[in-house]
Amino acid sequence: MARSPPVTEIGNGVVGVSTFEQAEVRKELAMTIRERPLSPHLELYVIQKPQFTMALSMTHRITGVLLFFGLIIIAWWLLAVVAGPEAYTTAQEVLGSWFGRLVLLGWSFCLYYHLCNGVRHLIWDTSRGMETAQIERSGIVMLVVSLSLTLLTWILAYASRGGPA
Amino acid sequence: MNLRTPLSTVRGLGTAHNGVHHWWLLRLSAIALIPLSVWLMVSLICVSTADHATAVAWLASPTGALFAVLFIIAATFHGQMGLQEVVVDYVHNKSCKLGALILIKLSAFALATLCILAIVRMSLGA
Repeated sequence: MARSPPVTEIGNGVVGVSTFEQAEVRKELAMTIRERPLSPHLELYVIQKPQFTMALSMTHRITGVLLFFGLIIIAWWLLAVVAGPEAYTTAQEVLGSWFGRLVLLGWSFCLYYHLCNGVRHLIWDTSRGMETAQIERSGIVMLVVSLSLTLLTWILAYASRGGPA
Repeated sequence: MNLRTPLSTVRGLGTAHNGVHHWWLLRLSAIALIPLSVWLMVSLICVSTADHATAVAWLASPTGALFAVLFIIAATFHGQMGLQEVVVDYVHNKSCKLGALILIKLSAFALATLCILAIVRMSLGA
């Protein structure tokens, strides 16, 4: 669509009409322009048609924010290691409790999701895989890979200690 | 009519006077975090149930300390930039936005310093 000139410029160059008429023309044009559809708004997606790719994109941001808070857990654990065996044992008990493991499970999924989807973003940055079908396919692949990596991590973590304790 | 100077037209940066710097740094730290995250997860699987001495030995080893510091730098850097992006997109109140950005940037600095000091202490055997 051709870009219209700014509203303030329209009508100024019209010859043979009064200033009042020019103002009226401008007002009308302003109304028309305002009623034009804008770029796709978030509400359009949420209310009318929830999309798979949109959900993936939102999850990327949410996992990113959560991972920042995960850094606080990492800092706390590092401080516990420095503080000595007693503090370390406490930290390991907290993280090893059912709630701690739940948090770590969520954290590991967030990391793998953000990592895999981040790679997807880096591929897009090279302008590859931008067709709708490709984006949907890579989304499914990314989801499967990040879930598999999470599962694999926990299987290996339990295997390395010889079963749940 | 174009009132821009030829130089400004060539730069094409608009009123922000800033182009792809934020985007570039976010991508740069993201690339660094790919191998570093893999290292972190592999290491965490190995030390997840380790005793204190093993955990200290892991972080005090030259490779462990190096990768841990690199991960912390890249992760806090990437994290504060990513959170900044989320805040400027969704927080529209000016003072809330400014407050959130200050909090994010300073806490990222604090977290990075805290973690690096801890790793350095262990690797120097303090």
